[in-house]
Amino acid sequence: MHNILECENLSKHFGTVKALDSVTLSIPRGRIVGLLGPNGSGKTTFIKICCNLLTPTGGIIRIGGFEPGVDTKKIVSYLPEKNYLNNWMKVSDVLHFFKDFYNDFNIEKARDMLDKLRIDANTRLKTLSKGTKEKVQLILVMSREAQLYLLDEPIGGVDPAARDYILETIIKNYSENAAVIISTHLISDIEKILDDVIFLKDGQVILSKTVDEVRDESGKSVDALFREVFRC
Amino acid sequence: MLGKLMKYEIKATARWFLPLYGTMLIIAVINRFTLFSPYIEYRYMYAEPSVSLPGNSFFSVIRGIMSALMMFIYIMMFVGLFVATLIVTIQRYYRNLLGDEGYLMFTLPVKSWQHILSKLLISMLWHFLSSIAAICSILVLIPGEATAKIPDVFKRITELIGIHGIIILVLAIVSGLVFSILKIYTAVSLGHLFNKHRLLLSFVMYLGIEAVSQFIFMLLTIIAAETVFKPWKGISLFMLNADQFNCLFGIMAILTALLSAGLFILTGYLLNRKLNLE
Repeated sequence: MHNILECENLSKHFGTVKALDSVTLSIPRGRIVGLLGPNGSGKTTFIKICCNLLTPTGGIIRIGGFEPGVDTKKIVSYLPEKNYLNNWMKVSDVLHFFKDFYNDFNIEKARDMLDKLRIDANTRLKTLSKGTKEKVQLILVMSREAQLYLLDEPIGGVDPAARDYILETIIKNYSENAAVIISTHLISDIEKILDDVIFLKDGQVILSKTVDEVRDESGKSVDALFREVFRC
Repeated sequence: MLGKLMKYEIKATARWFLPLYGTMLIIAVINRFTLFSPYIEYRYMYAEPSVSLPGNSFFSVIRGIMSALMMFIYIMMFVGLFVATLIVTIQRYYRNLLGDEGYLMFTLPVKSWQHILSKLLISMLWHFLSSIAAICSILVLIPGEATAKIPDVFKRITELIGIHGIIILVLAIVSGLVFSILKIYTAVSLGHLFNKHRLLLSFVMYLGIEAVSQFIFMLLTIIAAETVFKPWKGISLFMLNADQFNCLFGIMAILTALLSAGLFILTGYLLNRKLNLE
């Protein structure tokens, strides 16, 4: 199976608002894909549908051949924008939580990354800063040996120094068999690690190319092209 | 997976209940010593006239105030225990599944019904343990001679309605508990369909569910009264014989179980198809 994710005419309407409008995409394994668009363009809606957190209004979507459900949740590792960790837990409790529920969770890898960022596994999440919590979440998500990583704004709340570490972590921790989808509007920071880009606007895909194609055809960086396409 | 969910549900809730039960029992023990009532005083005076009690002395007044104060704290704890059990039931469902933590819970490779069932079973466990803690605190509080009569009471009830009657009664209580918890889950899930004022609307939904289920119960009661219970006309609840009593509670248990199954399916559908986390 070449493509990890395929969707056809995928739509999601909230009342009269079309958050996603007939999106047709296929995402091959082994790629890092930037899902780019301004606020409200449908990035999070798309990712939530992939995670089975939202039910599409129309169209079909398959991840690893399955419709979103328990089977896809086993192979999809998702980093939401929200802080979803229980405040009363210790970092080590959360590690065991992940180990318990995900067969592909590599706890050694997680401990190793925590050490590198000097996060003590015995601290309670309550006492960690917002940025540190985000790092813990990213470590948890990237310590799974998943087939599809869905990262919603992974670098939004952390400082530039930590951004580099996070991007490095992402590149280092996905296998050739897996794909990574990163949604963001901080393009210049992540451009260097992307293979492909998808531009979303008002729920529709307006561009889907490899980064090399973008550079060759327009002679611009992805960031510059984004600014041009989405000029207000 | 259900077992793992339940394990974490217990971990997340035990830190509220265990200290609460401990405090409750300590306060009951304190009350055991401070408990003082004019009635007991009076009885002692007549039973053993030789025992001299400090009548209206300063100590007696202080003791009276202490006793009343401790009793007040105990009653507050008693009520508080059940209020806390209810609040934790609501809060675990609302926050852990439909709040930000829902992003974690609903991306676990687990079916929605397993989430509901794990929350339901653990909430039932705490309702049960809270009742046990409350009963224990009463046993600590009341004089030993009264406690000694409790087995007799059970024996009498068993004689009256039989062992199968006890089982039916327990089943009726359990399905009543399941029903009352599922009403909350359904109401919160329905309230969550809206984009604003979700808690307020959950409450409105609860009132709606309550009204609808009351209506169904009333309708079925009327139907039952005209059919199954027709020959019993004019008999009050206390005059029922054991078989009639068991039949009544058996039907109640089945009815609540059926309505509960309906709510369980509805809640599962809402979480599966209509989930919309903030």
